[in-house]
Amino acid sequence: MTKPGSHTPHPAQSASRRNFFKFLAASPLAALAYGAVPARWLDPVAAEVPPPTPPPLPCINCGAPVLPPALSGTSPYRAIAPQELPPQQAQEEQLTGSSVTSPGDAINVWDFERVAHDNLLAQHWDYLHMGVDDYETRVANREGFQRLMLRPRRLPSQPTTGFDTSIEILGQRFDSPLFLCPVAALQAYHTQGEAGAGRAARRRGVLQVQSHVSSNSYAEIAEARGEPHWFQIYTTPDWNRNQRLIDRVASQGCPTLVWTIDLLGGSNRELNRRSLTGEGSAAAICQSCHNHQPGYQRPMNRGMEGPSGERPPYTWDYVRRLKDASDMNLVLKGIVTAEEAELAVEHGADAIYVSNHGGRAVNSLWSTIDALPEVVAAVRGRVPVMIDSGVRRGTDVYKALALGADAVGIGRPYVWGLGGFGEDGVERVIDIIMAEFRMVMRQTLTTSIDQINSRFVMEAKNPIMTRHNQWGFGL
Amino acid sequence: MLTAGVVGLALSQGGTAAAQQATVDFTVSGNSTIRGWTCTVPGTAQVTTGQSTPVRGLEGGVQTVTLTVRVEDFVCPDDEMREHLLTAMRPEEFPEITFNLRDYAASSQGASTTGTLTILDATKEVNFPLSLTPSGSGVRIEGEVALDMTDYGVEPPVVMLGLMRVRPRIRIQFSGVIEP
Repeated sequence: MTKPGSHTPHPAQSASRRNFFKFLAASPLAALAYGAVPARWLDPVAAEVPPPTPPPLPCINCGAPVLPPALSGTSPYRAIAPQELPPQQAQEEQLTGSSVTSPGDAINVWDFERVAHDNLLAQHWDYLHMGVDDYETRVANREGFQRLMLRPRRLPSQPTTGFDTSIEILGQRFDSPLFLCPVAALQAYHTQGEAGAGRAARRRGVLQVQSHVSSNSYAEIAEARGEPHWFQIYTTPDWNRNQRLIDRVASQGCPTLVWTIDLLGGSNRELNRRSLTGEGSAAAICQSCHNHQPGYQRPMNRGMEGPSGERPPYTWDYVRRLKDASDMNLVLKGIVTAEEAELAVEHGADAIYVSNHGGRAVNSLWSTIDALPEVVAAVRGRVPVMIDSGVRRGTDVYKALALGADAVGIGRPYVWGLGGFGEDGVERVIDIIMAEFRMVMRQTLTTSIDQINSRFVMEAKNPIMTRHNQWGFGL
Repeated sequence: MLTAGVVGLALSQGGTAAAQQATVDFTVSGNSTIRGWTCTVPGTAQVTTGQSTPVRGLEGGVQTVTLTVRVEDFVCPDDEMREHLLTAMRPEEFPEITFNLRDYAASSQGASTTGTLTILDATKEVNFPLSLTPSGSGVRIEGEVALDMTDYGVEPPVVMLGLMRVRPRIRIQFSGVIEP
């Protein structure tokens, strides 16, 4: 049963050190690593584990598994007792994250995952962490990115000049191709909520898309951010109610409406259900914080009462209807096929947002980075293409841009940062990913976003997944 | 971050002193067993200039710095949080939180500050990076310190019979501009 303080254990809290050394000992990379790590670190391994026969170097496209069987739990090697292991905390934390005490101490975004996990109410953490069913779509999202390899350039024919990561999308210019995805109820993670995330995004010149089910209202976020941002809508069957909400955000300066269409059929959120119904689900405190008194509504649903209207079916004609409901741009979020990308453009969408809701909508979906090329091909440059789901690294941003995306969104990582350190955490997450991204740009001799194209990536048959992904961590 | 040569700040021993006061914004952040939180409070920085290496805007250099906040001035995300904070901080007995600079060392790596922080009736030495950088016609003072509130005898608020507990580790950040 789930209960506060004893929720999903982090792999690092579950003695993953042993697995790490098993991995090290059995890895084809060990032959390389043996020459590069301190001898004192390898001695205990050597004492317990027969040195592996030096394997051939990992072959990207040979079809052989890149990861060793040790990680599957079927390793032929004898287990190493934890107390015999040398104190290689840094090695372990590199693959599991470190519970940092200041945002500046974070090395990568998974450090914030640790902090958020350690600090948040179990139910809040589980809500953020969950993927539908058994997380296969979440895993697919990461595997998709980790199956793509970079093809860098080393020397330019002429000295490179200038360096520009800015983009223009739907008439707005941003300093970065990164954007903050709509994520529900951010005050569940920090009292600053969407307003805090908005301040961080503004400071870093990053687009923010507000969730319909946000903790702060559109006006509060826009005030905190100092400029209008984009708004994501979950439509209701009652058209009049939708129109009132559209009028509200449009009147407050929202330039772009993002319609999420990947949850219209529901989702099987098993971890969430276990978390909310399990023993110790802290019902009293949930009732207190969520203000589940009669009549309570989230900010963007307040004041939306009025006469009911038509109940048009959700068909492609609905896209045109939404488009005509205001002067705002309309983005369709959740497209993952060429056929629907074509239809979306035909019916007036101003941009396509490739998303599987971070693995929170439908299980057994292919990754968004896998879906991206066919969507881009179908769109044929007529409208911008955005993407999210599984973006964790600057390399991921680069790969998505290389395959034709115009902007790349992050969800959980910035919420981890927010949960750990408020807006400073969000800012640091953006900084980390952008620093990684800029380095890849330098390594590929690309000095502006428009220079990044598919010649800089190649596909391998197998993803190289190195992080510990037990219980969905590290995804 | 301050670097030697940019500001070249030093504490002086004696000399002509003149006091300057600035409003400084403080942000106090932490976590609870539910979520992260942030409260803010306006405070003051009392800077006494004296004979030391000149700083742009503080021509006499810096002799002393005293940061002060009034506990009653804290602003939290909601009234209930503020009420819990005031209960823990007992402003009727201890109306102010103060920091007095004792030592300041600048290097190419930044600047380190040592001083005493008084919360409730506990005074302890703290060490944290302090930045003094030219800003317009004045000098921006910025810093950040992390501490355990229980070290100062502050009981982290516990709400709803222990269902929600504030964690004792907090971060205090401050920023303000000292005008000449």
